[in-house]
Amino acid sequence: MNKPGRGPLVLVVALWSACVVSALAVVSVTQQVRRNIDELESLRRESAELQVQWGQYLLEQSTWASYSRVEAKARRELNMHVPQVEQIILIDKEP
Amino acid sequence: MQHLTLKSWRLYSVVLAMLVLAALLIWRIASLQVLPDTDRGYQFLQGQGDARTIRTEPISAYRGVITDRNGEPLAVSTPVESIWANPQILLQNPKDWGRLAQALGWKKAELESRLTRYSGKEFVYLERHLPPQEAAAIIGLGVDGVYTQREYRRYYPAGEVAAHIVGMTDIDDRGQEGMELAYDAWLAGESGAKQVLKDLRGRTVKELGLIQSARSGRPLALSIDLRLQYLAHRELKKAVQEFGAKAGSVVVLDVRTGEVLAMVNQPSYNPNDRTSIHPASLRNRALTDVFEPGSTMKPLAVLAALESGKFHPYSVIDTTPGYVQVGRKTLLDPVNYGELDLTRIIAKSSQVGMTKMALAMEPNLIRDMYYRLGLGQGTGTGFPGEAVGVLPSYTKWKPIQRATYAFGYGLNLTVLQLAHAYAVLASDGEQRPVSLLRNEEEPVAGQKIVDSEYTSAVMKMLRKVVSMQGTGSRAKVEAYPVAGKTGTAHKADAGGYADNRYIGSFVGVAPADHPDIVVAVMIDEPNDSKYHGGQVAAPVFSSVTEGALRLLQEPPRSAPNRLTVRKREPGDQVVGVTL
Repeated sequence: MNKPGRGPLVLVVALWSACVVSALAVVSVTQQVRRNIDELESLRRESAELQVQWGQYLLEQSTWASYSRVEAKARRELNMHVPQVEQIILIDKEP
Repeated sequence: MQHLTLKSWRLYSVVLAMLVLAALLIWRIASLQVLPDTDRGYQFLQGQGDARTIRTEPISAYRGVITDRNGEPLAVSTPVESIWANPQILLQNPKDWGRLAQALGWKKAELESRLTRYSGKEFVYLERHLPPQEAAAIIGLGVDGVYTQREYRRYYPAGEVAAHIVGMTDIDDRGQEGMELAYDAWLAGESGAKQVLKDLRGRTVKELGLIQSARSGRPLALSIDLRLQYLAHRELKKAVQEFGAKAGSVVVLDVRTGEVLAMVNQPSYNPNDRTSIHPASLRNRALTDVFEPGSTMKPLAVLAALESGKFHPYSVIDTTPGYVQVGRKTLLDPVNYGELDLTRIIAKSSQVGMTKMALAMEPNLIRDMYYRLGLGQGTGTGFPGEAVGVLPSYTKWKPIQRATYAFGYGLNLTVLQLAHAYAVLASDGEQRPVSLLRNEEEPVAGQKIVDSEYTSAVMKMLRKVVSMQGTGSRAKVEAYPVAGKTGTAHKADAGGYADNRYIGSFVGVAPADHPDIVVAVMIDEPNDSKYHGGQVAAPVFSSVTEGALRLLQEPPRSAPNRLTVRKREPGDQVVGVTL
């Protein structure tokens, strides 16, 4: 039997370490994925939260800016009125 | 080697024993990990593991927002919390009841009786639709067997202004009235659920799969313009109060698209406060209630007369002596008008003139015209409970039936149908379907159903109604020419018509020279002293039309002050300071 050369040994060591490296990479990627999913989840939660807030602000805005309230304020507090026909100046565009 | 062989049996037995033990171990491992039926085997272990990590997460979905044509919100859902309890658990710790009842704002006895009433159940609502902060305070007490559930509550920012057309939902967020009901499937969201893997700290680390996908409700844009809606609501409410009327409706229709720009009724209700709703105020009367129109039908009968070829706008009918006998009935004019042409018959709303005209025509022509204009037919809005109206047809027409048809008795319709019929007059004989939803593609193609020669003749007559000599002089609008017709109808009662109960109406088109809108006003049972359509409904028409045209940015026709602008040219002298 010939004395075994160093070639096969090197190959085995290389393959083994490649295997270990790839296994560690799988672990790290999995960890990364989990982190990203968690982030995605919290962003989704935030988006739902913001959606709710948007709805509430929409309601608030339309309550404050309701036509009856605006009209009452304009008439009583600002003393405004609808212009009479004599007060309207119609500006025609020259053809 | 002798000493080895001597004791080799001992060695072998030890090795054998070790092997057997190892085999037993491997068997145990294999049975736990591989064989399915082992007690506390892999199924049990997997279950325990899953129970600690796999969670089902709800995916929330909202009910769609309802807006007006400009995107103003009319119905919005926001989350609220409902508190529920499991009586089985809660009944076991009576010491917590005091705290819980206090937090709920109840008496302890109330809570106790509620729990004992539902003692056989595992679910009972304690309080529904609390603001999230209040619910958090109650859950914060840490009472066993008390939980919250997220629900959605519908808010209606426009309140009673748009209550009838928008409708409302019930406590479980399902459509109950109006467009909320008609488009429930479109608006409703469907919440979903998914399975996720969570780690020790509650972070989601893996999505395992979707159990049910969520579908958010889609938004709905109505055809109404909230500004016009508010204006119509305000004016109608004022008129109904002023005249002590039982009810009233206003419909504003866009002539060019057939969209309903405003639809209001009195009495109305506040959809945000369900405790004070009276069933009678829930009805969208403009769509669900029919009435006998009376004189507002006369221009449409004249339209049929013109089309028959027997009459033209200057045809003269002698109405002397101011009454006419048809069968056993005597039909009266207020005074003897003498000889009238068709225009003045409409302007004066002469009963005698209309009767003579109708009796000179083929019996079916007037009914056919009404039918073509949409009376006795659904308008196709899809609104729940919409009335179709009654437009009887006879094989053998009695003279009285022919006469009453011509001045709007013996048939009934909704306020929307009335506006829809007049929209044909306003758009040169073209008919467009009525829509309660915003039309996405403009313009809407109309279907020609009457020759424009006849409609423009009738429009001319309708302008006379609003003049000083006509019955509708109070419908005048300062800045724009308008055209329209008054109607005053006795209400039908058991065994005939009531002498002292009326419906006053006015339907008109504005601006008359280039129509944008049709406005129909109906006032139900105004008090005895003022009940004519020209007195109760025409002023509402006037103020709604004036405001609506201004809001629609229609330039006033009769502005006394005009300026003309043109581009600056090289020779111009600049006098003042320009910005």
